Amino acid sequence: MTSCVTCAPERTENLENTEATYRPAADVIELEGAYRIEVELPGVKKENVDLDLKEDALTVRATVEPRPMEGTVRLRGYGIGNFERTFRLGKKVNREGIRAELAHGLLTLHLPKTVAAQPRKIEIV
Amino acid sequence: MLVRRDAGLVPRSSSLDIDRLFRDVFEDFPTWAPAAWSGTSKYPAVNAWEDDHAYHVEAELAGFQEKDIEITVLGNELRISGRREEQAEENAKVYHRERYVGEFSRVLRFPVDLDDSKVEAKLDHGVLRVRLPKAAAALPRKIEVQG
Repeated sequence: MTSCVTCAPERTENLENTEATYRPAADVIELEGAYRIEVELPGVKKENVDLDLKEDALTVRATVEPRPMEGTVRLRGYGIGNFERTFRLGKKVNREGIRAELAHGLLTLHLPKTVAAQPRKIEIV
Repeated sequence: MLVRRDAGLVPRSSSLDIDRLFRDVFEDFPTWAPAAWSGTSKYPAVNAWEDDHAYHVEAELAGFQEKDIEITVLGNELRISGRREEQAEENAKVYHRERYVGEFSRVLRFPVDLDDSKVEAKLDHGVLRVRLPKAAAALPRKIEVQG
């Protein structure tokens, strides 16, 4: 891997740098038959998200349109810039079945488990 | 600030070439106790600026819809409040949490009163923008010099 993902600054760093790329906040949830990753991409439209799966690395990249603050800035709680984060997938994830949806600035990734990784109920006869 | 929520969980300037945490997650990482978020007043993070006539506040609220957020203006204060419910799913295990969950209520206080009848708020792709006109009494007034 060449990209240095964990080195991407968090939202509260590099506030003045308009060229910054930030690591978006994310949750990882395991369900019975799948994993779900929720990635916060506020201000991002569907056409500006790029998902890339290369071997075990699933990379989310999003371009954020600038939102200028016209006037005198009084409070700066976060920086505005593009987003990038990579998730390394384990063997349990079925690559073919990955789905993604974006709504209200939240990207939801559905990662189904492989059949072998799914819980199986054995019926008693 | 958002940064504090995962400060203990994610290596911030690690030399790892990839988010190692998630490799662990997907390879039988033991269950993680979800972080307990309390003292919610720092959420959401905001940017604020002003021009001659108004204050402007922007907050990032990814995943929120209009109905989940309440904006209240009183005197010289703005309150942004709301709640994000956890999705109740059977046998769901939260491996890693950085997103805010639960109730929040953040109050911003401005140096002058606001014109509460003209406040405009818009939520667009998870970004909340509020325009808060200054009350007429707070605007600069030109006094003509009598000859």
